[in-house]
Amino acid sequence: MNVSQPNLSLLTTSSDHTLTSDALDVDQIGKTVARSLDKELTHLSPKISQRLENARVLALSQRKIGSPTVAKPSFQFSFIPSLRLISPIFIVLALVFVIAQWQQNARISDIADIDTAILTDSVPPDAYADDGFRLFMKKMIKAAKEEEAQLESKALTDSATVNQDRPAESKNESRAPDISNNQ
Amino acid sequence: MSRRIFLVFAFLSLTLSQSPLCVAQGVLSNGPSWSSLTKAQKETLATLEEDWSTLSIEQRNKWVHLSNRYEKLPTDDRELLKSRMSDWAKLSPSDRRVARANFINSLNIPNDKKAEAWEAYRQLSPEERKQLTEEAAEKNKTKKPSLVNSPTLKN
Repeated sequence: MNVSQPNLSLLTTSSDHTLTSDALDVDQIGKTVARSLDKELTHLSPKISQRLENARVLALSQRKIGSPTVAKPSFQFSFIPSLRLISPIFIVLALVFVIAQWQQNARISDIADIDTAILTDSVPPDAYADDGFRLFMKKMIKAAKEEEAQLESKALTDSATVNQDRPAESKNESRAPDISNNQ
Repeated sequence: MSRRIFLVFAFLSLTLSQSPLCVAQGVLSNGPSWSSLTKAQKETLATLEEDWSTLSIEQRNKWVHLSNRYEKLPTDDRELLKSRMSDWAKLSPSDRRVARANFINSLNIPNDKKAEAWEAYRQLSPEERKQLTEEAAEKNKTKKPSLVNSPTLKN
């Protein structure tokens, strides 16, 4: 009886779920219970053996009745994968389309921004379309910078010549305290 | 699960069909027609009305984008933009691409210097201008492609 005790408890706990749980679980529980009962079969009285036999027959008959209900989920299972396969493809295609449209829209928007800036600039668009003008402008700016640099260097040399006498003066100034210190 | 997937798909389809891009600009058709433009857009793009049918889908979409920015511009810029619009649309796609690239390259140059350079350039003789254009073309041949002159700026 010690052996059958946990099996009975298993049966009672599973019986709560038999109505809702999967048919495969019920089948597994039934097989476990049957194995345990078979072990104790030799020690049982004929009356109990008869009752168990009847219960077994009843259980088997119920199992047969229950088997067709398993067919329904198998039908649904065969239908669902087709949706599961096709839907992601549609979603991916839709996403790719949305991203492509968004990129295209962003590109056109950027071009519109540049065109607006060109059309409202200080020089007409024709100027920008002319590579000759671009080169001319570069040369002109370069020449202006060079001229600026020359003026700066000239100013530096002028200031350097002006300051040429100052170090001598500052040397004399720096010597004075030394003399006073020696004294 | 399948219901949830269906709902997501339905939402995406609805989003696509209701997106301003599809509705306002007719991306899935032949681009926005002149009659489909709003009154304000027509007023802004009036100088392009005659050539509208000859413009590509992307060009039309770009002009629609540009007309939507028009209201936000200062009054002086609006007049300037309107007066230059027609000439700009008549430029070839390659000229517009060159112009965009040159404009982006000269963003760091002050406006007054650009205007001064343009005035000086206009004073040059046709021969001098031609010489400069040829020199620039020679330099461009050896120039590596950059982001500025990439095909994405074509339109």
